[in-house]
Amino acid sequence: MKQKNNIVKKLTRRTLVANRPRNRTIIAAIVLTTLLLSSVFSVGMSYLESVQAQQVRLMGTTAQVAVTHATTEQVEKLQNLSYVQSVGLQHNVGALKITSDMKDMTISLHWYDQTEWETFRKPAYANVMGNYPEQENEIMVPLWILQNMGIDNPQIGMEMPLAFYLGDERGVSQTKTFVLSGYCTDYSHIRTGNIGSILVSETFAEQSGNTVEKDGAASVTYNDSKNIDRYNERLKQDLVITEDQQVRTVPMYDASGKSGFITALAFTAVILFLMLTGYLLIYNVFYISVSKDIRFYGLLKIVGTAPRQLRKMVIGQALLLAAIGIPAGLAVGAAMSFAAVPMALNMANLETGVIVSFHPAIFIGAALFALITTVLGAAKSARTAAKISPVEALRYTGAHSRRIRQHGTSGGSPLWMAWRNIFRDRKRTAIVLLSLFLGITTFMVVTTLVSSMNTDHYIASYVQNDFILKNNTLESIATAYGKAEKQKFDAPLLAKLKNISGITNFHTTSIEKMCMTYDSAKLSKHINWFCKKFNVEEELTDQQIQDNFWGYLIGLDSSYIEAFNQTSDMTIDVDAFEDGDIALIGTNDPELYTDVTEMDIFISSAGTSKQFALGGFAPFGFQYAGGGMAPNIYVSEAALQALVSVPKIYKVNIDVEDGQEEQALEEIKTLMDGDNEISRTSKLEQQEAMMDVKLMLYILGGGIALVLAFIGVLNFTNVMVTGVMARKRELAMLESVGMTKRQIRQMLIAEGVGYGVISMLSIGTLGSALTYGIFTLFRQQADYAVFTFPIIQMLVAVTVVLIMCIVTPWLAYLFLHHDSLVERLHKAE
Amino acid sequence: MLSKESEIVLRANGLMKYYGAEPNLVKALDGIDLTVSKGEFVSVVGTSGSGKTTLLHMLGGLDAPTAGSVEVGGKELSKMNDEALAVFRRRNVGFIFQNYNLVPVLNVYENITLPVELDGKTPDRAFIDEVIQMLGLTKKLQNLPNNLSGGQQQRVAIARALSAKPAVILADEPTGNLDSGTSRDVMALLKSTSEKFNQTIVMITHNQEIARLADRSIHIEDGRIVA
Repeated sequence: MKQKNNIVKKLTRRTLVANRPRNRTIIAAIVLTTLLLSSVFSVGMSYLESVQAQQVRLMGTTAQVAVTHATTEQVEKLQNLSYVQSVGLQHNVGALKITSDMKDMTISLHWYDQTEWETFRKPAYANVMGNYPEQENEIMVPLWILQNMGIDNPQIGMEMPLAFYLGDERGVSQTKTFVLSGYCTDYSHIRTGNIGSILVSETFAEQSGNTVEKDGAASVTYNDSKNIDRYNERLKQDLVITEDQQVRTVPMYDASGKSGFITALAFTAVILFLMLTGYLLIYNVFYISVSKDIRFYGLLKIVGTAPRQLRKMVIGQALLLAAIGIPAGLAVGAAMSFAAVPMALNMANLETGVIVSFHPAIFIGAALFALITTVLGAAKSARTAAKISPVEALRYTGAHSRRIRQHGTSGGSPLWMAWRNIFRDRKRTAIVLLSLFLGITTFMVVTTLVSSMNTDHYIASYVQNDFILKNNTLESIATAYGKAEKQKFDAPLLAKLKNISGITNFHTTSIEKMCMTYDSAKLSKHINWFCKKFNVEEELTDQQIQDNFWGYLIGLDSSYIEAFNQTSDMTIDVDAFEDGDIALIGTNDPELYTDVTEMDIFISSAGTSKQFALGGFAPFGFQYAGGGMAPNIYVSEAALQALVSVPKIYKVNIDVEDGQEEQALEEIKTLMDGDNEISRTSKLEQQEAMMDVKLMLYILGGGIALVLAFIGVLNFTNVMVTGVMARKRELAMLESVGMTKRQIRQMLIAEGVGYGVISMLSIGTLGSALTYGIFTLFRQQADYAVFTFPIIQMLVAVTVVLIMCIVTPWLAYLFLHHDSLVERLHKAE
Repeated sequence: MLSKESEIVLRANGLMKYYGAEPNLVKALDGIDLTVSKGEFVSVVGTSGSGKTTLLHMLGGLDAPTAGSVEVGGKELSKMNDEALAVFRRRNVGFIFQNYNLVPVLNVYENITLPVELDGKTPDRAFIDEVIQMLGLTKKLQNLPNNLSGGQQQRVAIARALSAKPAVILADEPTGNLDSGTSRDVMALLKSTSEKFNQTIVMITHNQEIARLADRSIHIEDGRIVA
């Protein structure tokens, strides 16, 4: 058996060596396919890892569950439970006193035990320098806190005098000179606002008198991370959790990903598409090579090579080429991922940094799919080689036509012969055309999409003002986590903001939580709509609805009302609005409120109430989208102030004179610096970000499109060159019966142009339709897109393809010309 | 001569091969009956297009007959599939062609041992060496076929045909591409080696002089044996 393999292997290797030009094309195809696949895998994996890291970093811990106020016995039990993987301990030690030279923040002093730090906390931080505090006076501080303290260049070992409150006492502060034992980048304050912790040593922690039981928690991970809720229930029973204890799940483990399916689908489609283009080239090259070597395979069959052995030979060649091409493609892919991944992921808006993944799955996946592509590409040719009839092979003279009859009498002219030659082997022609078509159409789609991303339209449709500042503590996500609502835009800050140079427009929007009286006769249509929109399935009693019938009272400038009046048919009485007589309901479907004439509003925080007449409608979610079951109600600033003396300002919209944007941006940045509780949107930054995204899409998409187009061109060149070579004898025969070299050249060039014209026609019709179709899909995601046909890019592509179609056959024929006519007539192969 | 008649290695019964359909039906073979005994050297003569080559292809299992049967070494070829036929050929049939048909990527020695190696067997080194020596190829073993003269290539083809010790050697105008001097040498070698190893040979030729070297000569015209 060993011997048998040897000769087949030997033949495989030797045949491979004898086919260098073909090998180069196939290796190129494999390298490009592998490269594209590994780039896609790499972007995908890096995205997954970056998102995961982002989640962990925003949560600040890798633990799944926290058991608050855990007693010593409970901790012991926890450590012995079979389904618990790790248990970490932590407790509060005290609080930092914020002095006047620090920025506003809420900082606790915290102690972690070793498991808590090593297993749960450290992975959630980046750039951990130094060590967890060991000496009594050592502390570890996140970088953002250091910066808020005015320390931009922390040094390990530096002394830090700090004022703090120990334990529960908040009256008298103590001071102490700490030594910085370490610092790190902590991202959790992006989620929590300006809340964070300074880490202290165990010996220092003991002085506070606090314990895990008193003011701390035990962090837990389970062996099985999928059924956290079920284990939580078991845990509650096993530990005998008391009334004032909680088993809290870290928020990131609550969510289950649904959008993952669509992403996976798109991912699969892209991979299949890349495999298809690679396959087309590899298939074609093998197909040509085997039909060229048909005599050779036939001969081997005559002397007794079994079909299975022939199949092995062809597949073996493919595998050997893959062994060269795949590692090369992976290497290039890995090198490129350093550049491509951050670019691609910049679009995904990851606040905590991009991780370039080198997960083995990337390379295994890319290699596997490239291998599948290669083997599939060679499989048909392998079968052909195995099925060759020895007698046919002995008679084989080169190119053949399957057609039995050909109508027409004009067959003599070079042009007509060229036309017939194109369709001589329809399958091969179809593959070349498809390959060219895919490459160039992808190029068109990418350029169309990118040039359609009109920056001005984008800004106009998404950003109404030059600057929008938002109080994040009032966001529904923040309030859902039980965070305190704060008045971030206090009078001094507003005054400073109003002083920004070149200001032309300054609007504030205030919000206040309110309850509304529910009248089923008037508002049942609203409830039906609400239940449908938010998938509420159970039947609700009027009392249940009333209990949840809260929303927001939103105070607006009357300039907004004037703007509504200009854009809609309905007219709102601006004076009545300003006087607080009327209010608006936020909805896109006024039909729901035809029975409503007035609304009874009660504000529990101030203990005030008022009845407003319904005076019109504002767009749903205008300025603020959160709320309860009640609709959000828009009133004038004055009306809101009459109910709540100082309403909380949610949004500040600012416009400045043209040309002043940059200056204003700098001023606003200085005013807001480092405050995560206020977020800023600016036209200028959006525009810049948009340009970056466009550039990135150009490079990435354009890169892929170019590679695909290149594969198409390679396929065409290969078919053209081998087509001319295979017809060596036929061409010599034509010459011997009197066709001049010029006519032959004309015929070959006409063939090339024929391919070019057919691809251009199909790209111009089907390709354009496809491009427009994909644009329409894209438009649904990005309504700012404006269809822009990339004429210049298109012209370049057309010119390149046509030049190539003319030059390739001409060059191929030049190569042929070295031999004399008689030699060419006699050459059997 | 007695032993030759006692053992029949090749038998064709009512062999027919038709190509195409009426009105263009071509009867390449039209009922051939033939038996060849062990060690016999049979030549087949006939004009161009008489069906000689088709007959040879049928005898070697390269092509399937329209009707009739071929038995080689007692095995009926029509009952075998493609895979089995290939295996059967490399064990039982040696081919020699007018244009040599050596494998261009293998050297002389590898070409000679190819049928044996394909069968997964170790070549009988002593036997192969003897054949190589008789055919005067000792110094050319490492050469690739395209570095050899026509006569040398045909000697390699003869060695290859002998290497698996097949039941029968089928030769299609083995001297067709050679000049008359070389033709004589090659024929002498073919005859002497086959006699030495008691090989059975069926050889197509249109050269009367070469045909006379055979033990028996068969004449084919229009797909039938006429003499």
